[in-house]
Amino acid sequence: MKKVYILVLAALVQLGAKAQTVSVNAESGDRNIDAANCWAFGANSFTNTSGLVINGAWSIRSNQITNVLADASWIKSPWIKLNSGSITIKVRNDGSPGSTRAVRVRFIPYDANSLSSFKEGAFLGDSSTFNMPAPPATTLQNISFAVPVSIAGNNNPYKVMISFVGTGGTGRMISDDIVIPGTYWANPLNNCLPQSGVTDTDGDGVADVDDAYPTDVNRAYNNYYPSQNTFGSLMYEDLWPATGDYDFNDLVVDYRLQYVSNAANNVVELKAKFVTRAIGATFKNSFLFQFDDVAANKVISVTGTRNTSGFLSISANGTEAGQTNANIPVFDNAINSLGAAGAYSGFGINVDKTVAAFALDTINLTVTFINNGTPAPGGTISYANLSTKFNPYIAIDQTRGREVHLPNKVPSALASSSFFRTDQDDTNPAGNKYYKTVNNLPWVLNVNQSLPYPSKNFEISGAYTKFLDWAGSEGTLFPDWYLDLPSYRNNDKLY
Amino acid sequence: MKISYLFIGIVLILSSCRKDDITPNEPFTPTKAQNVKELKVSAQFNWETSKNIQIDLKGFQSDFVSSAILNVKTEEGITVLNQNLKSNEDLQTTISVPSYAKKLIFSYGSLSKTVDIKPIVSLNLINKIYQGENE
Repeated sequence: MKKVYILVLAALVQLGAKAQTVSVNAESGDRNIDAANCWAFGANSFTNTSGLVINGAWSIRSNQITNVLADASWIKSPWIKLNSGSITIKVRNDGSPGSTRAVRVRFIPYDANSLSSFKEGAFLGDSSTFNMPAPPATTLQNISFAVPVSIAGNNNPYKVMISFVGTGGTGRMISDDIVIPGTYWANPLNNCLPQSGVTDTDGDGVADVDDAYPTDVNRAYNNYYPSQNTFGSLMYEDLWPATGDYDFNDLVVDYRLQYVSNAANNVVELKAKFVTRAIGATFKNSFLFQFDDVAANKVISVTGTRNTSGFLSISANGTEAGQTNANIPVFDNAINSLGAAGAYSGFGINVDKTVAAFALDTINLTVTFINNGTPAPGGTISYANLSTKFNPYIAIDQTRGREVHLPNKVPSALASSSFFRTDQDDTNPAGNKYYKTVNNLPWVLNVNQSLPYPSKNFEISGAYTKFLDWAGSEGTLFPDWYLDLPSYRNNDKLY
Repeated sequence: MKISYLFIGIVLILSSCRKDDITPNEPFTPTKAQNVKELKVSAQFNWETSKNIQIDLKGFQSDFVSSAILNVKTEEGITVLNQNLKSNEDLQTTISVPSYAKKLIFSYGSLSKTVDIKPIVSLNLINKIYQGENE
């Protein structure tokens, strides 16, 4: 009985081995698609011309065969670990005249020391040639070439090069259904070189070469905003709902966001760095950010919040209490946070070059979404869905409902609508208009790099000479108005 | 009766003047201003120094499916996206790039491709996958 099992098993194994083939039949209709799988075509293209096609809707058509050299017209396979058996191919002449036509098969070994980018070694001595009927005969030939015993099953990768050769006339050759016994062994993402052992130390499916955390199975890569080594600047006018002097220095906070994702493309944590640079007014402003439409229960924890006076109400997971969406408190009072509570004269911090500067204040905040592989109760969220929802804002002078956001960013659930449409504000939720004047002027600017802000009493358009052109053209002119380019800045008016 | 029509007419005219009813797509001519307070811009302008770009990337079918980190950066070298991606997966996502950026460089394994920035950037990985031998 055991013998029967063994025989059946052996038959199955053999069947499995037979089923392992690498093939090309042109049915993709696009040579580039097969090239993506590391097939290469030298002077051979795909055709769907009726009368030429051998099988299906497409076949492969050579150029005019006028050369006995095997490197003039050819099809080259990807790297394959060849099995014993036969390479099969359907070929016929296209009916045009010619003297001789033949199909030749050669084998190319892998050579790591080859100077070519394809790492192809010298052709093996074993090659086979099939002489076609003399043109213009178009009889279909089902050709078969045995894989040399010396390389079949030796576990090394080879390419199979099929060449179309001949003399005289203008005849071409049509081929189809090329089937090679063996295992596909090319890596399309690595110059079509042979697959090699990919090192993935933490086994998360992201190769070490790509993995920013190669020994941490729960982390794989980072996304930064605005970039890994730079900051963005948020610049506030804090008299909302009244307009101010447009120096945009009532609160200036630089920020950098680092989203850490796992191999499944879910955000594990956000590491945010906020640098308070200037307080150009007297209000005690709070600074928070909301992830719009991201439920608060998608957050496991928040660390780093500076709630100096307890003005902000914090939930157990570190988000702000009373909110539907995840609102992350950064600090409750900019003046306290900057360590200026005792020394603050009330005339601004770091906005007047004639007054001694305060040291900048840096807050490192971590928002955790997945802890040791376990997501928050609200489930996971991707970088794409999280990063586009970043909505930073201030609550003005310890009045929680008096929020001011970037133009057209939505208020949080704790914002008071009683301020809308008072003074110069023209917020209109029904029209999706938020935090703009009737002329659509903002109270906040978000610049994707850290920049000098206007000194006290200088409007931004005086400090940045292209600002009005940019805004007046609605972003068409001088989209780089904030860069340090010749004639772009008036440094006398910048802090 | 004439008085009633007149009253209805006045109500209609007045209600057509409410600023809530201004359609966001009506033509708007930006002003030339001497300072910020004089500026008057359309409701569509959001004062952003970045712009959102939609990425529509097609993967490819292969006998060997592999994963790699797709990296997208501007010509200035600012990385705007990293994403773990299988070679046979499509990707549709939105990225934020500096408004002044003109080109994006996509890198995926050994593949690299530079494309002009448009509101929707469509990209097919196979167009760039195997260089040099296709004639």
